[in-house]
Amino acid sequence: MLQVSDVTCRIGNRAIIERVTFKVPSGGKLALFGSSGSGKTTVLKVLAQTLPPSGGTAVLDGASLISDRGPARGIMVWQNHVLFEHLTVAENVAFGLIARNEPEANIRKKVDEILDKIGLPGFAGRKLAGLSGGERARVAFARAFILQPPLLLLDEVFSNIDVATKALLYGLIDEYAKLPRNHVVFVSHNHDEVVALADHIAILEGGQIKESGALKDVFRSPATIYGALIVPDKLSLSCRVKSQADGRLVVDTGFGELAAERPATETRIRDGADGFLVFAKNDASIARTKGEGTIWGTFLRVLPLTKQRAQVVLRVGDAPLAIEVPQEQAVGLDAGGTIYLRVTGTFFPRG
Amino acid sequence: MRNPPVAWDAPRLPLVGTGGIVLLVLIPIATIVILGYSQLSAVRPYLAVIDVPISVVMGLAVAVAVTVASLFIAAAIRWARSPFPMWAYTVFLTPAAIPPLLLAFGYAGAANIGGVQQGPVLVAVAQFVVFLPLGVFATLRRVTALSDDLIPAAVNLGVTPISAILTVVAPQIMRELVLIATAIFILGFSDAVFTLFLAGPTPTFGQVMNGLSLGAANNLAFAVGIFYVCIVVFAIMVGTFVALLGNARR
Repeated sequence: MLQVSDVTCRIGNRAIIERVTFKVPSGGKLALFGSSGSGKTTVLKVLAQTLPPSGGTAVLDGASLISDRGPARGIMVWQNHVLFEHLTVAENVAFGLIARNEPEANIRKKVDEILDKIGLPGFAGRKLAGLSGGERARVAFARAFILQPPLLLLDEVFSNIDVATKALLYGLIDEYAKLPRNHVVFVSHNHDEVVALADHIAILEGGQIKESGALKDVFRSPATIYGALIVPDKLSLSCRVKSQADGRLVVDTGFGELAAERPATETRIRDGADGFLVFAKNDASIARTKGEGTIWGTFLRVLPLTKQRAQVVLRVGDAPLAIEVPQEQAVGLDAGGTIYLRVTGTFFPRG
Repeated sequence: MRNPPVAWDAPRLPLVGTGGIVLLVLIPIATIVILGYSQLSAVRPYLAVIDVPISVVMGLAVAVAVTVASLFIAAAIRWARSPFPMWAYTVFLTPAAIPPLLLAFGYAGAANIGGVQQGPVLVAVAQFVVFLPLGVFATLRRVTALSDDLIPAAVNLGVTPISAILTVVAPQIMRELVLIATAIFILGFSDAVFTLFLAGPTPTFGQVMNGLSLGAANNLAFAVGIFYVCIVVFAIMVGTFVALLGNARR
């Protein structure tokens, strides 16, 4: 089990991450999800023992990742791979083993095995200069996998990688995580990667964890706007609670009033609270006239998706939205004209 | 029909650079060689100036010491967790901004007062101080182009930061390090060689090294040494003020 508790990193008076807390069970794959600059990489660097935190603890199977001396147990695959350009593929892969003074015969055997496994047989003596982006990613993964670390840390490693390499790496990560006492923490701001790889998630914004837990729980009943928007194909509109009755809310979007559900875990929402209405792309439909429970916007364009469905792109205030509707609803709309939407969604307070 | 005028573009620069090097470096060397073979007796006194091995060994020692120190200082600046303070840059640059002659007087004065024996070791120390800023800034320019995560990545794989600098950073900038060492060797060597060649065949470099003494000029040396210290303090004050002003405006 990896237990991260109240980890804080400060530069001067500025907190890069603050009281970050989450846990990953043995065999778990946790996605650290968040926008750029939210502090995701800083968390990984703390776990990789390359950045001492200002406070907090990180314990892996009973031993501290922060105060313990000796080689790092969390091995990181870095964004842009950070390979050592003056070394060959084999020397890059073997770097950690050489640092650990492994016998040379062992190193050679392990390097050959891992290069075979990662799909780079015969690459041992090659210089990095001629390698493609996908091949370089494989070398970076081989360099980490060869050390068989109990904690694998991945920092946005799947961007700019071809589909075949991505599939191979997903498979290897799954295989690695199934081994006893192994853990994976990976950073991403890509929904597809999270869905494909993670079984746990921690959502980081402004250096703080906004929501964390098992991915299926967050998908089923998100507690915050951050959790709600992690679910694929969700959209949001800024709004304010106007009134509430019988457990349902009426929210004002500024472009019409809509009925909204409460989030599963939020019991107290006051009238006038600011927040977001979150709804699925296909939970909106086009109404021909303005009426109760509709909002209005400006129609921009329509794109056919299948024979039955179309994507309608519109703007509500300044917010662009792309909803999915049946083809027949998308017929006869005028570019630049007013369009009315009927939307059902869930309200999440801001913050 | 006249050809259109050729633009003064980048591809011509290597040609011009090569021409400049031939004119300023290779022709003087070739002249010495030709003169050396045709009129050896005339050149011999000047060749004595080189005074192998002291000057060559000392030059090499200073060049290697400056290059290695520059590598570690530049790496420390590059991978420091917090931005390197402006006043520290000023301190680093100070020796390079002081005329070598003034610095030499300062050293001589300080050595006389402190009872330190003047000689090649003190010259090497002075040269090290003068050339270190050049070495650091030349190295820093190259290491800045390396990845932010280079040393952390190596450390994460199990080596110490010092080992990471030697095994990961140094090999990647080896060509630049050799160039820096060569430049410093030539600069240090030329300090004496140019002066003595142009002044005349005597005294030799060795005589200067071993006989460096200000004799009756102790008081002058002391005054110049104090003046040097004042300049350093003033430079630090100005640098700090500029840094603070910059921070306040940010």
